[in-house]
Amino acid sequence: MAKVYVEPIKSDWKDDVGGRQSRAANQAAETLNAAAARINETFREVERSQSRQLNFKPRTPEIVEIQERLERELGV
Amino acid sequence: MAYADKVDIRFSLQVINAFKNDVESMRGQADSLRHEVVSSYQTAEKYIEEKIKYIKDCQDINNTDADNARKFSQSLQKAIWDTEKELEKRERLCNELYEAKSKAYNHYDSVKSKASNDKPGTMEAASRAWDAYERARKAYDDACTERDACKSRLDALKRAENDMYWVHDKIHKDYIELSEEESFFNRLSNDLRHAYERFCSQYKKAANEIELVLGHTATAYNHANRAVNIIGEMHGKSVGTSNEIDITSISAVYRTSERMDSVNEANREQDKEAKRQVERYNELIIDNIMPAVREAYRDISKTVTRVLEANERKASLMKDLAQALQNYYDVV
Repeated sequence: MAKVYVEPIKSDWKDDVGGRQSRAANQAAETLNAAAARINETFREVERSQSRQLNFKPRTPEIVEIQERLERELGV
Repeated sequence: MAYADKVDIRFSLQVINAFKNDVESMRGQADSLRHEVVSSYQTAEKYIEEKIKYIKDCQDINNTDADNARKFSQSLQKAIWDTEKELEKRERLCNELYEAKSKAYNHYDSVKSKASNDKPGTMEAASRAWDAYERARKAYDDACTERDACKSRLDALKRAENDMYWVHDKIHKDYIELSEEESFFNRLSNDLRHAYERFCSQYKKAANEIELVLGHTATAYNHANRAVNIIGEMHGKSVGTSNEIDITSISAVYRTSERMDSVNEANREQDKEAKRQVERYNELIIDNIMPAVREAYRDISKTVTRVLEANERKASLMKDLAQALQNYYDVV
């Protein structure tokens, strides 16, 4: 699970000149954080999948047991 | 030098530096985020691959079990069918032997009722009839025993058949569950790959944007630094990059520049007039004034030249400043 997020720009350059660059940088941070949030959701789904229980067990022993019982009962 | 209208345009190399540091920090965080995502993706992908492989192994076992169960059930069905046929035969045989036994007994009963010691041979005939009956009875009993054994065999086979129904049902339920698990993890694998590809694409886009911002910031810093240096030069002193500078707006700078042009024009007119005055002065007194006066004239002339040169230098600097500021604002 990716836990790191990109922080928005803190410096006040944008306050001084209403900077295009501040907006561009923060837009890049938003893009990254949104992408991280989406892939994190998939990572969480993968984590949740680890609690799935597969109840499969081979049925070979049961078939063998029936065959052996038949042999016992019929003597063949 | 008239710095006329002080307005709200201010910039600080410190602020630009702080911004640059923030963006570089952002780039570092973005890189950490990418590493984290790549690591998590690889872990998740490995987990899903192992899960799918485990499911496939289970499916192989399930298929083998299904094949074995089907073959065993086919053998079982054939055995049941054969045993049923055999049981029918044995039932018929029992019935026939029962008839034979009954006939033998009736014959014996008939012979016996007629037997008498007074009638030679009749007692022996009765004894033979009894023996015949005994054989018929034994044959019937043996047939019944074998019929019962056949029936037991058929019961055992049918119980096994019932048990195999349960096994087939379990194998089928396992098959369904495994198919669902396989579909789930295949879908999860696809989702994960698509999410990762989408993230990589978005990361590339954001990383490019951050690099562009850093490039523009460096350019803006250079332009701002150039403006700071020009201002320092105009003030006749060095301005450190750490000092916050208040400057006029571009329009004010342009206006100042225009005023400087008109001042220069006036200066040039004054200069021409001064030259004309000097010429007239020369004409009048040059030949009559003492060499000391001539020396004084040279000093005045030098001063005028310095003033003119200083004005031209300032005008040039103002134009450079205006250009530097224009470049800076184009970037930010």
